[in-house]
Amino acid sequence: MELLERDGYLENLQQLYRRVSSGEGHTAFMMGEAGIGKTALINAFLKQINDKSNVYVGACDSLFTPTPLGPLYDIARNLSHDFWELLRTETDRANIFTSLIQELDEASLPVVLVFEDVHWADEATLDLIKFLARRIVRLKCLFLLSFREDEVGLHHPLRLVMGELPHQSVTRLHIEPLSEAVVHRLSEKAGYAGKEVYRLTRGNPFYVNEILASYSHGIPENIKDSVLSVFNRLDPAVKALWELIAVIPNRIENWLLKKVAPDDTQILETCFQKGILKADDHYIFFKHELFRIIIEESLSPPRRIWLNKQLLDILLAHRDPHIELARLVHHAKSARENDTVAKLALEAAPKAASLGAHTEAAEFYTTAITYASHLTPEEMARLHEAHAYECYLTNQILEAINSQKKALDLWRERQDKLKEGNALRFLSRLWWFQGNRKQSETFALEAIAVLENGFPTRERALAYSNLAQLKMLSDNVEQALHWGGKAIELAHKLEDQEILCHALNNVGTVCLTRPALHQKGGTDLHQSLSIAIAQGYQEHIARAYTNLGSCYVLTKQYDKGLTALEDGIAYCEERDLDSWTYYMLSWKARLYLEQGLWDKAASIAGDLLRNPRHPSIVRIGALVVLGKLLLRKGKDGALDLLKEATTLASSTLEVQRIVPVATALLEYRWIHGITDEFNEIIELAGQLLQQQDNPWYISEFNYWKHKSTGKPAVKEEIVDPYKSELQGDWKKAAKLWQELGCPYELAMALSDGNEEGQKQALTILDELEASGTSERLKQKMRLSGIKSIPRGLRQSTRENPAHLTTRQIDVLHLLQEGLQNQEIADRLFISLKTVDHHISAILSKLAVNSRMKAVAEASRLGILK
Amino acid sequence: MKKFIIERELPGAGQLSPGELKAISLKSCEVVSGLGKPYHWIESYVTENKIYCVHIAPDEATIREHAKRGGFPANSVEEVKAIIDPTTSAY
Repeated sequence: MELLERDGYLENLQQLYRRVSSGEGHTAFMMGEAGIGKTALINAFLKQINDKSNVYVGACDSLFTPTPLGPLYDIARNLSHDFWELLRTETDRANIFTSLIQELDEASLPVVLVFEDVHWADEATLDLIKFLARRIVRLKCLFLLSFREDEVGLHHPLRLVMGELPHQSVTRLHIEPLSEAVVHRLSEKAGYAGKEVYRLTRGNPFYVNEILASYSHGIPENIKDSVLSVFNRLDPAVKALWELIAVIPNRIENWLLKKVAPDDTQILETCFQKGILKADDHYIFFKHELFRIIIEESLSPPRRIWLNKQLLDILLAHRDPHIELARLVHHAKSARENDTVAKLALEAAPKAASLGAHTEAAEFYTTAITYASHLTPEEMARLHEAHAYECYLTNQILEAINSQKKALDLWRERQDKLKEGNALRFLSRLWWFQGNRKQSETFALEAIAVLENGFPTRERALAYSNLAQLKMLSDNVEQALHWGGKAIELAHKLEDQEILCHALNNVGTVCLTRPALHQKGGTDLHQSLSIAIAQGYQEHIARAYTNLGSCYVLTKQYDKGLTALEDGIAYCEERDLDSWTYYMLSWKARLYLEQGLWDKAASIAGDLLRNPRHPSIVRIGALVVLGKLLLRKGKDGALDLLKEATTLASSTLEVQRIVPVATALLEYRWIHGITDEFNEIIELAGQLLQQQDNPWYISEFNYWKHKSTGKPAVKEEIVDPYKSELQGDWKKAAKLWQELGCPYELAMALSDGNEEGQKQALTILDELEASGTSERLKQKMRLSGIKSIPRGLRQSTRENPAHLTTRQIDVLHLLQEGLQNQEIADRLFISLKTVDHHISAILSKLAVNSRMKAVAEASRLGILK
Repeated sequence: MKKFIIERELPGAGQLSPGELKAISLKSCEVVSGLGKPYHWIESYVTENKIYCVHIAPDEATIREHAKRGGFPANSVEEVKAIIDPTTSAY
């Protein structure tokens, strides 16, 4: 069928191809419903550019459980022999991914790499897509991906991948159906009523084509009838061949067809001539996958089982490296060969896991558990544990708990203490992920009880470190030190670097936020990081950076915090350790919020919230940052964000999630002058804080509690600057906040001072555009009888043409006087960094590149007299 | 009943504290009494990185079951075929 109404898309692809040819790689997603003509369009494009580029085409299959890296196997045979060998033997997929990039990089001609039907892609392929698309711009490669839009719902993993790609180098092409006019034209040419054909097909090219192919007289009631009417009138031998090909998803290998149907060469030829079957160098396939599906679905169950059995027997007899295990499992399942299914699934699962296709590994293990009947209790226990682990990696925590519990019961029956203890420890970890602290701690303690036999085993060391981690997460310094200390001692004895690294991280993290233990905390955590780097423990490296960053932000050591977070984010981005990257970004947003860099904070938090699939701990952080910003700026939407954060944080029972939400809500109460809302989470925060002694959370919470209720709240653990502020020494507090570099908190301290201080606070709040907060302050000032309250930023900004803020104009005046930055800082009671910030804002607003020119330009505009 | 030498690899065994040695012994005795089979723990020699135990049991499987239930390593289990000492030279 000729390609109609597709010139625009082809031109789009040609444009992208020209960019690629000039060295700037690009990714394009071609999406549309089944039958819309994605493949036809791609083929037409490939035909146009075929002789001047290297083209590689791979496809994903609709198996019960897809083959890990399926499309890569398709293209590997056309890449170098080394790459093909690597793909077959390598178990570290990072090597596979980087080798592919190298292959693409070394090609002399531009490369067009096509992955079709990626809505069926396995997890490893999705990771590969992300890996490649993020690096594509450096390669001379056009990466084309097609998928069926109707199969990719909002929560499909492909959506997530697409959301995480750089916008500049990604294009999305929605393939539209044919227009009514074209359908009319085609129909009339074939002697049908255009209106009727369009009503049935809605312009889907495959359907239009099937109906107009004149299989029967008149128009069938539906498309299926149209296909089956041809099929049912076929010669029995042809029918049998079609049925056989139809039970294989997507396509059949030439050699395989020759084995299953050796005498059908003549029949095949006829089918090719009619255009129903097509062939390339390696495969034979139906002209369209929809055609195949309609035939497969029309098969009777016994016939389908028999056909699958035929294929399975041949595939098993000729175990070919080209035939992936996933396909064998598929046919074994369809043939109801339970023992074979179990055996193959057990073989396929670890292979999928080693390639990073954990979703598929978990599915294979589920299949194995369902079909296995001859396993010993030990084998069964191991199978359940492997399943639990893959489920844990793919965030199916309840399934993981279920399987791990079964493994535990089996080990218990066998009275195998080490296995039992280890299973208990992992259950504890799983319950923590599920957000259930109580269960988590119960199992953690039980694991230790089972493993405490005097023997210094690895299992026992892990159990100690696990409990230390739980205590660290709930900020219980005494307990974390107790169990962490035991883990460290044992790890030294066992010379086990990994446990040592894990335990030092837990102990270091909990110490870093306590003024008295701060030194030790830094040392331990950095030691943990060094061990992790020396040994190449990626997860431990990520965790060390994360905890360093979050602790430094919490203790307001922003320079160290920024360094740790930026190093950590760079490390994790390089390796696609996304969940760590996002969690660290949520802390970076908080850091910017506290430093008064609100645009940066809002941009990070907004990006994080746009992806609904981020885990609670990432979301809570971003919600609090953005909620506080909107609240302080007096904008709508703050409450919705903080309410969502409340729901997510409540079930964690962790101080580090709950207290930030509670303090944001206390601030909300204060700004809006209400006293009696959000009691539940605020009380919960208060209770949790009584059980531990993290001074920073205690201080922040009590400070806002005091502010919103007016009740005194001085406790021993409260640290400066909060302490001075709560003791009424607002000047000292202001000085400390200024030294720390926290403008908003500085304004809060000043607002508790005299009239002069309050006016300074208003200036700072105007700088921050915190009109929600400044309104509250003005109200307070009016009530205390202050008359001349400054008008505030918006008006004064509007009066000057370059939209300079009051503060920036102050700085300009001082620049005009010829003052240096330090002198300006001293004069305006702000930090050196803030002066830098103001000057660069002035330069950019006035569009000049030096302070001299800024003064000249401001004079010209009449801002300076 | 047969006599066995069990080798348990235990880095730093020589530094185990009296408390830890007591915990090991308690656990071992507890498992012995719960086995439901005749089983005798004769004695154990604690060296720098290994513990060598002498146990009497019906078979190797029971020795391994004892280790499993106690959570002890049993890196090798060898049956004692004969015992010799300086007096053996008198024959």
